[in-house]
Amino acid sequence: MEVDLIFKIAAVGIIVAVLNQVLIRAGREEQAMMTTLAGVIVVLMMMIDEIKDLFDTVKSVFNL
Amino acid sequence: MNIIVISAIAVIACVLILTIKKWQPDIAFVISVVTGAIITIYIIMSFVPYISALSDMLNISGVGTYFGVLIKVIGICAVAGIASDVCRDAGQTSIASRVDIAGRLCIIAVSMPLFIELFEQAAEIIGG
Repeated sequence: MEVDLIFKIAAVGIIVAVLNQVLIRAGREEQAMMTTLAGVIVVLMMMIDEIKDLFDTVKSVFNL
Repeated sequence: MNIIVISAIAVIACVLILTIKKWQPDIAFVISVVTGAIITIYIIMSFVPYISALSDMLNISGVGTYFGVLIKVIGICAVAGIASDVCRDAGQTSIASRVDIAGRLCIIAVSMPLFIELFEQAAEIIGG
């Protein structure tokens, strides 16, 4: 039960949003876009691990 | 199978998704996918003892030969349902319906021996 994974992803999302706003206000739009992209990639990596666990569980339980 | 845990996680995740949707809709979508995955894993892990109990019951009653097909079909339904609902959440209804069609075809493929068995017995009865 990795409930803290949900909070980790939410935290990354909020940090990326704040960083985005700060960088845009500071006039660095490109870096803001880069930060958003990096945040999304980090979150995707977390998601892929969870999806792998899900499909491994289903495969083992239902012997697909 | 603690229903309180599941509903608590679901409600918290929905609140988180709404707060983050304003700035980062893609990360909000990832949260919903991960929450769905966590809850599904929890459900399946707590469903395992019932599967073995069901298989014992069916074996006793002698109908257990096709229990494996039944379990496989339930698994295919679960996976196809998860994938198509996630695609619908993302707004890709066309991909979702493709996944549904693929799931149905997989089920037909898995349960083909059952159909053959059924038609053979029917032919026996009718043919005489």
